[in-house]
Amino acid sequence: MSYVTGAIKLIFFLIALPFCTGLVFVPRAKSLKRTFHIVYIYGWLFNMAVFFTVSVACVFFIEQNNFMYCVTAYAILQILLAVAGVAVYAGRRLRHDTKEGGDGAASSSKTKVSAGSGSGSHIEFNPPGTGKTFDVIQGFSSLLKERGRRNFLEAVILWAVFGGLLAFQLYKAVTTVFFDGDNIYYVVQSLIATQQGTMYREIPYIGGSTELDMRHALAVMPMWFAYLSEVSGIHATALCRTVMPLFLLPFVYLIWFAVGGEIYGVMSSHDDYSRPAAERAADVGLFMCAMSVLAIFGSVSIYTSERFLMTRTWQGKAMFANIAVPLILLGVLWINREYETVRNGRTGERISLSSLIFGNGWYLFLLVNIFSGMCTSMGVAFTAALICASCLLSAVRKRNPMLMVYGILVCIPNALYMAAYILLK
Amino acid sequence: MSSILNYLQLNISTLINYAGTGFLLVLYALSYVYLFIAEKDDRKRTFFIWIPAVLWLAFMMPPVRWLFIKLIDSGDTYYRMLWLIPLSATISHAAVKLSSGYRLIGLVAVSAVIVLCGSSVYNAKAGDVNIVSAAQNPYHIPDEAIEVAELVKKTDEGHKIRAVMPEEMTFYVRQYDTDVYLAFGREMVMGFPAANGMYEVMTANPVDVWELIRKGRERLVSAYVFGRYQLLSDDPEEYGLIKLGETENYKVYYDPEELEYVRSINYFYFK
Repeated sequence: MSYVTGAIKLIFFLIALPFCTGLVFVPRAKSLKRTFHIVYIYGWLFNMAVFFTVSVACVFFIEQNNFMYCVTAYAILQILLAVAGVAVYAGRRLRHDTKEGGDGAASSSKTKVSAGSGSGSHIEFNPPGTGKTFDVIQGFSSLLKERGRRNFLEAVILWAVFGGLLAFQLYKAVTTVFFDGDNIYYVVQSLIATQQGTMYREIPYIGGSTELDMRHALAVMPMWFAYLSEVSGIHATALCRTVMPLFLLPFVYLIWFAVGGEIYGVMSSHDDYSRPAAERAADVGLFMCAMSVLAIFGSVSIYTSERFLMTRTWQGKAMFANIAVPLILLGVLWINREYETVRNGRTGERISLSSLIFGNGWYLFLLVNIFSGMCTSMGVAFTAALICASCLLSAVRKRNPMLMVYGILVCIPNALYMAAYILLK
Repeated sequence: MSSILNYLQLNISTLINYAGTGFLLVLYALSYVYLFIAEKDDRKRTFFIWIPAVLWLAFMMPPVRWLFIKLIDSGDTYYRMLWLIPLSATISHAAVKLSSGYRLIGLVAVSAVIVLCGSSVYNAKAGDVNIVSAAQNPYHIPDEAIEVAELVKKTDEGHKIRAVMPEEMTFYVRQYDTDVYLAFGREMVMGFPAANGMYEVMTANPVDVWELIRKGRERLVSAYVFGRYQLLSDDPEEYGLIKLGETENYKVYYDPEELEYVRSINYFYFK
């Protein structure tokens, strides 16, 4: 029974609150379609960035019982951010509805259509800039219209296969133990925080107080699991090893779905309307099937990211390889699309300064950079390398040197993190 | 010049180790070549061809490894650079592109290749050791480790209990309860031993029980766990240890004299 109440609490803290946060902290760039999964991904990342700030402050500035301060402060902030998200979203909808109401009955029948035109004054789950309404329900309904086509059947079968593969992976994640010596460090650090109330100040292997573990103190991912354990009441070890894969594996696939959507033009920043929706959905379905089969059979050595995903799902390095890296790849696709649009002038849309900062890609890079520092200390160096390499290439391909400049600018947090890490180590 | 060659050699051996059976990299190479020829979309070419090309080049360059060792980690973690290259995504995209129009046949063909040539994570091994087993509980540790931890905790009156136990148990007990301290643990395996020779005594055959108790008292050890498979020099009860209980494969004792002392000094602090 405690697992049931724990699960409900986890859904609240892990799914509901980040989603509500995402309602306000999703970028406002016109070219970004704010579908449910994108809103959630941004909300989750923003929550993680806040957790990083709160927990690192508690680790370094509070010596005793610092974990309880961290839990209290972050829980309050998480709820406040979610309330702010809902309030801002509701306010925008209200203003929008009032405006529509004022336009008269004739325009009210067009409310749904005009909502898709993306005035930018409120959040819609649509592709502003394309002039077409698109929300998730309509996306499915347009798919259903094609149910007579062969592609539709293909899409249904491929997505069913993917669903089956995911369900199998989740079942195995719960019922299978993968022995890994590193758990004695990571899982026990989470457990120490919940049972002893202290963060990184006890020797995990044998117990007993020690100096602050500087090598790991900035990579606070185990403390995030400890936080979830504390608020849900589920033992930290059971949470990390049995419960978290049930969230993390679907979340990893959700990110790959976003990447696949960008590649094949489904629920992406610019959908490819030249092809039927069912055909594109089938493409993404096959992509996801291949990704999930590779996740199971990609264990060709102990070093592959696929192996880390399946056997060490809850460890920071596995989360870095399978969450941070795909998110950066998603940002790279967005940025290339955005600059392609500008150069080709397809929509006549110009990139403003604010959309450069909070627009597709760059803001995502900033959040992922912070997240990668939470995962593993060396993560920030890797994400910086990936961003700079991608931006260099994009700058050359798009003949736009500013891409490289922005790429370097978004890596400033990484440089600060590395400096702190080297100085404190 | 020789150090450049050394770094290059190291990079190649890192790549070979990462490749393992080689299947994933071969499939990736084939997908890469196919996409290099067939992918015409500029954005996808940047994503699947040019960015990975830069990353491969960076991975192989000796100065990058030198910088990595100097600034980030001197350990053997350079292979993580390869995580930045979307191997699976490239293979999957090539599969989608190849099966255009025949996706279900494509799914069967691609799955067959991956299943037949790949290595299932559910039969994973580290070296020759099988690392996969069926879960006995939500903690994903052996039930017996929980039983041992509960037995050791019987003597807990708000203070910490430091226990000595066979090496295999040290991997699990603190994943269940961090109130149980250990005389030695994984730091022995990691190569920075903290214990005063207790590890050597505990792993000797037979175990010198009196020597273990003598050293244990120096380290405030009040609980002793012996595996039934361990050969003991004497019966622990001869030296005043009292049996707390038994599990299928382990016997748990406590040292009343040391326990009294630990309680009198409020070992570390009360919870």
